[in-house]
Amino acid sequence: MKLIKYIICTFVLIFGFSELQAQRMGHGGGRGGGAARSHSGGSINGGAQRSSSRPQTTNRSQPNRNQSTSTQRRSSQPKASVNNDRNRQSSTNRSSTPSTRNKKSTTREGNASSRENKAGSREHSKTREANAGAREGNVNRGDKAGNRPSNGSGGRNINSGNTNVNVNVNRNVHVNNNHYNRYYNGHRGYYPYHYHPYRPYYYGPAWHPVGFFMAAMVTTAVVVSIHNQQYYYDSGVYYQEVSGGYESVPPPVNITVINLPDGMESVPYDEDTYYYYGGVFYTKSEEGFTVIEAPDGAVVTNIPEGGEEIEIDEVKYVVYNDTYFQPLSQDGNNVYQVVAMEQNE
Amino acid sequence: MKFKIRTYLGAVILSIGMIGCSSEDGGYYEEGAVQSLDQLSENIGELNSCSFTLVSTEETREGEDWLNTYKETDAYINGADEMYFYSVGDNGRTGVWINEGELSLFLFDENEYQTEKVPKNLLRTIDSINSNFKFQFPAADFFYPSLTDDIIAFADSLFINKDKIIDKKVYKEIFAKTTEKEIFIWIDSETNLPKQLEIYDLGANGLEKSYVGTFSNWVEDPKLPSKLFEFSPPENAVASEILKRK
Repeated sequence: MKLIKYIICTFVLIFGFSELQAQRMGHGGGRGGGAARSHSGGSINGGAQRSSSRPQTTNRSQPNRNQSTSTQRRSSQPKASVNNDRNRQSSTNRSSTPSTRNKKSTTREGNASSRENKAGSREHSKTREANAGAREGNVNRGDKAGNRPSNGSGGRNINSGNTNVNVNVNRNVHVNNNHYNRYYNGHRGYYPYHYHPYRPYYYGPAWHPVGFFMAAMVTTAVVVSIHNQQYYYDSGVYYQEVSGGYESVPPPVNITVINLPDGMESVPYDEDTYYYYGGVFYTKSEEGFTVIEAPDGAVVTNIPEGGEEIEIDEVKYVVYNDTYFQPLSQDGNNVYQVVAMEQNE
Repeated sequence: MKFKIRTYLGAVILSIGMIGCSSEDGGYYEEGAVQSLDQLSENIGELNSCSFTLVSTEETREGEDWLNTYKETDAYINGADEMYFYSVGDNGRTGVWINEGELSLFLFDENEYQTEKVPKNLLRTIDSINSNFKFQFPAADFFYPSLTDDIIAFADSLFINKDKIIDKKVYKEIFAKTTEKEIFIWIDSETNLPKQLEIYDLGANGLEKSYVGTFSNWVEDPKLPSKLFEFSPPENAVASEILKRK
């Protein structure tokens, strides 16, 4: 009999509180939640409780809070009103974040919510509606008249050989695609991860992937420079002089070119409009188009040749010039969304 | 017999340990998020009374359509056992009084009311009503003293995002995620009170349901008259089964 009492008491102790469920977040997760303490003094809830057996936490510095030049996280800060510093230095070698645990995917697939907020008096309603309006129906429909899908190298002398796509399993990065504007698509455009194979997009005969070598520079190229570094720019591709010729390179952030080729995508995102061509994102200014880091959460239609498909926690991404793109399906079209990624320790 | 009991207890303690360990496997919890939630929780834990306004929108997918409901609520809480809130929204005007172990609900437009015996404690009342009826209390999540631990227990990952700056005010944003649910909490950096709660229920086809609640008019420790929490049905009001059982 005593044993039965012990059993009953034990089960009540273990499970009694945890079965309580309340409100939207579901309290009573096994750490005493939902089991409100008795009224002590005049306090509403008897004071905060804190479990002594919390799991390990990760001490990650907040993303770009100080607008440093470090690009710990891949995401740029596209939103004009919050931490909009487009003058950050490019860093192709992203530093790893401290003490990041290799955790299962924490993907936010374009988190969304209603932007047609009825609450006109809400403090944030203006922002939301503005965002919703800017995005309605004009997200990367693919205005690529004249371009055609890639059938391979098309006879060009491409030394990257990336048309043979291998899927690598990469466990050294941690997905942290905090799409700060989760309202990006509006709830009717909430698109979960939808795998579609990476098909490199063919931007035309003048476009070349990073690493492409030319013995002589084309006559249509113009010289652009930043930080005393000269680049040759032609048809959306940047070149630098190397021994015996010229090699295409990733463009440095903040370099400005006068125009972009036909086939440029305009990418409305988070109250701003960005421009995308050949795997590179730009903002428009009086001087022309300035290269920026890939805005976290931006959706594009195409990724050029030179990308690599990798798998992280059973989700496949395409990596192009250190930018991670996640395949999505949007209104039945295959698209890609930029996701932030952190290096594990 | 003693041996049996000891053996049994040993096994139970071992089981508890295993349960504890397994629940902590694999989570990613950012220190900043945990600290921010703790600060919020501690701040609310020190309140003896408060009042606030909550404007909420809930959207539910119904096939191809979305059903929207909008509600604006003024809430008043006094101590651990008194609460009153008044809501205006798509479903009409509603008043709820909790006082002395009794919950009264009044529909102003229908002139109907219901009274239920409840525990003499707000959080136990909320638990009790939630487990028996389809009814949500405004912002009650934030009044659970174990808020941070509850979220840690619930979420697979917990992030602190970039600060939101709106009208020159800074808000911390916490993001809690599971495969089925995503929760965003904005916390006013100055007051450590919640500014916004967003909950997204995800299904196989993406978003199934969303809830966005925005707080304003927070008043900490106001002196609230006891009459505010007393309900007397109007003369011609009709007693009715308003609360829908689960």
